[in-house]
Amino acid sequence: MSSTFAGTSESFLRKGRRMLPPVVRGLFWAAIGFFVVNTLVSQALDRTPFAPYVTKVSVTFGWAAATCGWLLGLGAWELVVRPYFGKPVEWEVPNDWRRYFMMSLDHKVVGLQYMVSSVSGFFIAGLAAMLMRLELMNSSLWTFPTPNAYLSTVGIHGTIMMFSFGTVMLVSGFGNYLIPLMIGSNSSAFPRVSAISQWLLPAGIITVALSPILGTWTTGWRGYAPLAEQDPNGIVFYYLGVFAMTLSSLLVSINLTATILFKRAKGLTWNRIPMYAWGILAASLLNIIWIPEIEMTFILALVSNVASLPLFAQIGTPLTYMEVFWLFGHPEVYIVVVPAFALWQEFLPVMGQKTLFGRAWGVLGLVFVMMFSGLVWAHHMFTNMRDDQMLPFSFFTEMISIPTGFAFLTSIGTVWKSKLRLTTPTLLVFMSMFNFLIGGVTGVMLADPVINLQAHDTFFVVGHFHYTIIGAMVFTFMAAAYYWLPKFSGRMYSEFWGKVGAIWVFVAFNCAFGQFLLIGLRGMNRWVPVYPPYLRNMNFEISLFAFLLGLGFLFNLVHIVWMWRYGKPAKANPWNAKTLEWQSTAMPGETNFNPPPEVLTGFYDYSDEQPVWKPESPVEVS
Amino acid sequence: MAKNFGVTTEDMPTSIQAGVSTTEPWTVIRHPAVLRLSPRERRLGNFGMALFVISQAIPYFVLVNVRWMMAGGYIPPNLNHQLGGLWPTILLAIGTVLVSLGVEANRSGKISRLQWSFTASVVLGVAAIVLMLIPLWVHGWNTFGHYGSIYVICQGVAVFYTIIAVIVVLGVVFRAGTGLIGPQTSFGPQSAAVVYTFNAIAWFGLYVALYLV
Repeated sequence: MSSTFAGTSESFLRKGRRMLPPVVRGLFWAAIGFFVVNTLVSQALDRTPFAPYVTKVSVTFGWAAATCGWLLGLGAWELVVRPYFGKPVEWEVPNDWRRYFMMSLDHKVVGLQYMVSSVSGFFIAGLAAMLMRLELMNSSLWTFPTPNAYLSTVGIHGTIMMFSFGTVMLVSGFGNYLIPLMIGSNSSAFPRVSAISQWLLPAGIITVALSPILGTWTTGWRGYAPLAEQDPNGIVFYYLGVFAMTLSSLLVSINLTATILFKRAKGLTWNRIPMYAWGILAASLLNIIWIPEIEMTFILALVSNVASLPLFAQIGTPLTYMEVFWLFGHPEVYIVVVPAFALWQEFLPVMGQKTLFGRAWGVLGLVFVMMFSGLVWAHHMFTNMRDDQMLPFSFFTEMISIPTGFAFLTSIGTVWKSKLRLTTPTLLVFMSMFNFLIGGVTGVMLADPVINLQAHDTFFVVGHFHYTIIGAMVFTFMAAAYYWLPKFSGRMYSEFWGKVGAIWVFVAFNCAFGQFLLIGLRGMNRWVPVYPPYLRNMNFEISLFAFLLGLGFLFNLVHIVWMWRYGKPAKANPWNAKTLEWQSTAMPGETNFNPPPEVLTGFYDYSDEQPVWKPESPVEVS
Repeated sequence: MAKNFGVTTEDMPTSIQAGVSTTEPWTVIRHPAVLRLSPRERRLGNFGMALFVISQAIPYFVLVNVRWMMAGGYIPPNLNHQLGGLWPTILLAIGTVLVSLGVEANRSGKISRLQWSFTASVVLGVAAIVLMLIPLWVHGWNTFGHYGSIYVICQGVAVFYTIIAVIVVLGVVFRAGTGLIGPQTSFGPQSAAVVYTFNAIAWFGLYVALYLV
């Protein structure tokens, strides 16, 4: 690698030290952007008599300007815009806490930034869930002032949970940190892309969380049009916030796909690629296909809303929106859980010190789940379809359980007759498998039109998808957090308190969401804060378990954060794993591999002790 | 596994390698705006561009499908085929030829021809934007009708993407003006040409769907 021109003059380098991290500048520029553009639109370009200072149109353009200001202030000005027009790149990175509050080109820093943003989203959405459960403890409206306020909370919960945590944590958070390490690279393929994409996530979370400022919205995480057009303006922030969050995931997916394909270490052939990298590859391809689709859909709905076009009402139909939404909506589930499947197959060979069983079938399972995921979407709309239209979608929905079964069989086959260490990550993987089994079986039931039509829009469906999303993805995320904590922090968690935390959330989760299935069959509908009194006792009890679950997640967070700082120092490779991330001791700000590694064999063969890698020989320069 | 606290040149991502210096407790990253890429890095860049183009083609599929769901094959009889449709298509097609010629000129070291071609394509792109915008204001059909609603959105999306394509090409003009573009740094012009061409092709698909069939 050589630069085109001789080194940049010293005069380019600013000598001063920034006292505040660029996030402060980002906030300032965002505020300026919003006020300037909002004022311009509402007071000059689109001025109407007696209109408020903030209108639907002005807030849309103001938000776009604020987001641009936010990104530019955080570093896009120096790292992207100036160089694009020919100015040299000048970027100073403080090697302390401030590097986490600016755009970073270090994939490990970006990964940690994503994890913090994503966990923040999880707890904001979790708080919304607690409020919902508080409301449902009574059969009449008693916590929220209006049904719309309750429905807005449901929407905020679902939207932030899906787009800032479910889609993000395992792909953008762990993926950015670990994928370059696991494939023996010192960076991701396009570091500036991930640097930018990370900061779109908090912008999106804050936008959705603040949506009630503009008014309530009743559509849930689907943003259904034309229903949304009956609501006050809060839905505008839903569309904009989701646009920011999904754009973040799209950019990361392009970066990680290119990273896995082009930045692999020497010797890391296709049949040696880590399972987690396969999972990320499958989820990224789904993101690359379906996220632009849903973004265009949301733009159609946003423009319909802001410009009062009757796109999905008088001239189109609500079905038009539903079709294009669920085309994305069901693959989204697999974007969330495919990396979790891959992680089961990542952890169990290590914990059992036994060769991964049926590796090729595990990979095929991930790939076929990805491919089938685009063929099942209409089962969300069975209530709007003719019988003959349902059958193909019913068939493919049931079919997808077959490649999903590969993930189970590969995992179980690996555990079979292994000397398994029942650590906290192992326990959480088993819990995740159990939960997904419940989610999967209820999913097959819902694939059947007869049951689907009966259970539609009941808590049975809510229980089903929480078993698949929380049950599989969140439990696997927790397993990953404990498994890689020594890697991230150099410290080990407490095995005792880790298991207490795992059992706590498992019991609370199953007691809460298991009863969701039952109360759904007893007639509890979704989207209602008021329900028949005969369901009150069961709802009251479910809420208690939901609060217990919330506290359990909080307990695990406190445990991990505490151990990150005060835990016992861990060995460099505490699990005796063979994957490459454990062969590097680099912390954020440090080089992963110097010299680069050369992979000699696969990572999942524990039948012998031969080394899996060696330092790559330096290239002789003649 | 080096434990050094700073970032060294050879370990940084290739796109930001040159000019990194370590001054604890600060890491200073500085290098010229344009770097030479190795053949593998060029392939990586091309692959990234391909993924980007594929992902950005999908919104156009959505628009074309929604156009059919909304209005079938209906086209208003008083639609002005030239103003918002044919002329922008012709201008963008000429622009596509020009950016291709610019890329070729850059390969053979004719930087002034590259600048001329890219500047001309920027001008054509701006003209196309203006022509696409006019029917959003001046039209003889109902904006709230089946065809009109999807038309304004399609036209608006095309304008947005064309603005992006023009900015991308304009960046190359600026970088060439500061002497940063040459035969050894062909990825910039080439990727800008891909963006411009993609936009022209995508618009052509939309044009056919909106104006012809």
